[in-house]
Amino acid sequence: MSILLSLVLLVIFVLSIVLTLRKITSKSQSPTSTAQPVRLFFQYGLSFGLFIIVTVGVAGLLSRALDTSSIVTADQSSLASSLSFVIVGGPLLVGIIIWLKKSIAANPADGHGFIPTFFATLASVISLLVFLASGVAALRNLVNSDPISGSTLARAIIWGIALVVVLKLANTVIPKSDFRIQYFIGSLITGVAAVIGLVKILTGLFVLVLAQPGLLGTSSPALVDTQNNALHGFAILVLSAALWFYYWVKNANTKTNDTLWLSYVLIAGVGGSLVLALTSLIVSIYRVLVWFVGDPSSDVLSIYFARLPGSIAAAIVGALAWWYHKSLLPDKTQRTEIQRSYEYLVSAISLIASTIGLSIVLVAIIESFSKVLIAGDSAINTLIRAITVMLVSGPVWWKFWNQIQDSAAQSPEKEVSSPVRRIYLLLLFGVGGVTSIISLITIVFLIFEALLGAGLGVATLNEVRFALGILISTGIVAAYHWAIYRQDKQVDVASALIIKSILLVGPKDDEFVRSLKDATGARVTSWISADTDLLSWPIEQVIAQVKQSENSQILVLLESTGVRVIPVDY
Amino acid sequence: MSNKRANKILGVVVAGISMVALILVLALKAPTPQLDSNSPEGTVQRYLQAITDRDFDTALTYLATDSKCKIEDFDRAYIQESVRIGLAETTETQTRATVKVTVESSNGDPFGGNFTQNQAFRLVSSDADWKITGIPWPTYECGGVYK
Repeated sequence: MSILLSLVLLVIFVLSIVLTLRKITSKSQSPTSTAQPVRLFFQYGLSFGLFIIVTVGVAGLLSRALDTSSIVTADQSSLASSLSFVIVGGPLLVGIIIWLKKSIAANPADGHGFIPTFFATLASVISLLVFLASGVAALRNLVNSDPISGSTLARAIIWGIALVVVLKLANTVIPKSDFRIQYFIGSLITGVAAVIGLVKILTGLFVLVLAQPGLLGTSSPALVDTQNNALHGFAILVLSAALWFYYWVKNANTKTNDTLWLSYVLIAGVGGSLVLALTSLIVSIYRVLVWFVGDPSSDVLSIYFARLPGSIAAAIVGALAWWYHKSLLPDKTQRTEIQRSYEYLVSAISLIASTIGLSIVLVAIIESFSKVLIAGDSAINTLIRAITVMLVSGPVWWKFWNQIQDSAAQSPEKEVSSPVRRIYLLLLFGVGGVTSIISLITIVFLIFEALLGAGLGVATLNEVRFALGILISTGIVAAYHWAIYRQDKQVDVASALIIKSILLVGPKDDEFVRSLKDATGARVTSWISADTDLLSWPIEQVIAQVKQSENSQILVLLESTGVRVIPVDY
Repeated sequence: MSNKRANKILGVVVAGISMVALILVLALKAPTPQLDSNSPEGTVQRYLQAITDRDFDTALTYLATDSKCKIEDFDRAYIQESVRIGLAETTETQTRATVKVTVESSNGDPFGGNFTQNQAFRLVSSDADWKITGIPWPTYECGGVYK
């Protein structure tokens, strides 16, 4: 009874707010009114909240209908909450959607901008996550011939429908350029799920192969097996790959020359998959090395190597994902800022890993003569860990850094003046420097603490080992990059290419804009003039004229009489 | 490389890996072999099969006669529906044996992650067969005595 009373009060409260707001907004207000963002936030926030409530309620009701198991004790309170969610939330959601539709019809700008994009993205991402998780669970039960629980199936159906509805509605209202962000978030979620699926498939395969008689015997033979894990990975891969195809191939990857796409491919694609591949490879090699030359945690082969198939599978899948994202970047022959960003990113990741490895080597060296180990990982294992990290990531850094330095030697003015290089050098110097200072403070603190206490000794050396290792390794990195930065500053960048800003006014031609950017390295802004539809840009002529111009800001105008290049200051 | 070509290669590689894995999984997946019932690992296997089948009366027959474990202790134990128990190691003398196993069960995440624990069964020789002593998995407390 008390629940019903609270619901009635809530309905009255929400209705009174809606009516008050309608009263306020129905009075003529200029589109620039400061009340507009507040109203929009309320409208979209409320519709988002009601959308979640109604979807949860409908999924709860459907789960009752789909649950085939014989109910011993019915959970009446969950049924009551599902009913109330649908009965109260449903009409309110319809009402608020009608209100939104009218608002957008009266002022189309209501469907643009941060607020609608934020709530639509949030709704679609939540729908995707719930649909993916419950869809995978339902598929897994299906391939295992296990009974599918009613609530799982209901969640998969209802949140799947909700996802389609949100995408359809949002795409009709929000401009594609605004709503594009959700395709990247969706690509990331479904891509990670697909990677998990493929890793599970490969892991299952390796476990099965290694369990065969005559092979390494690294997998323990089953005494009892009521699991049917072999096909789990397929269930995950099938659903997530289908969704990834929609999000990435069909949507996010269709426009490949903007910052959002590049950031995703470089950070999540290349960076994320490289970290996965390198980490998994390091873990795999480390486990094998410890078994042969270190101090393994178990003498039983099958126990010790139980996780090895998983780490090898993750390394293979990580390498595949890295190759895929790397191959999406423009051709290596054209050394653009994109190519540079890729090389510097890989170089940074592998250098950070190598620095961590060097720190651990130093810690292991100090540990070997400062600490008597009673239990836990021995110094030999620490040393193997460090050497493995350096063995895997060191060559990657060496290859990419040499490639970068070769380019800097061949055309110093282009490489040295690149903002990507400057950011890279300053970041490594800055982060390395800050870490060194923190480590130094820690060491001095520990020394003073020892001096004022029990006195300096082997125990002090043992305490400062991590800080000392980090100080030396990050100090080397910071000093090396500072030296490179100083060296770069000596290069005569006055003769280097000045990055120009070009404002194009003429017909729309994306291919021409891309060619101009590639040829001149300039920042290009394109404005479309209304009466130049029949004209086309003379590519070679424009490139030649831009290169001849000594000004950094120029306006390039295409008229029926030809191209005009005008120096401007904007 | 063009986007289309990269997508095609990725699709072919993933489909290839999946097909090979599916064929091998279906070809190599064999039913769990039954070990010699007079061996320590065979005794543990039968005990565990009875446990996962929730046939606790049969499970009790594999325990030593002086075992503190009663059927009520097994009723209280938590046994997952889906479990894989692998044989890790067996050490055996004339009168005693230790069978180490790895128990893998679902950790509940939607992507089918596993939780692994190592368990040891200690056995004593009894006439022609072996009996399990102590408080064996999945029980952790028998007759008020904790493991």
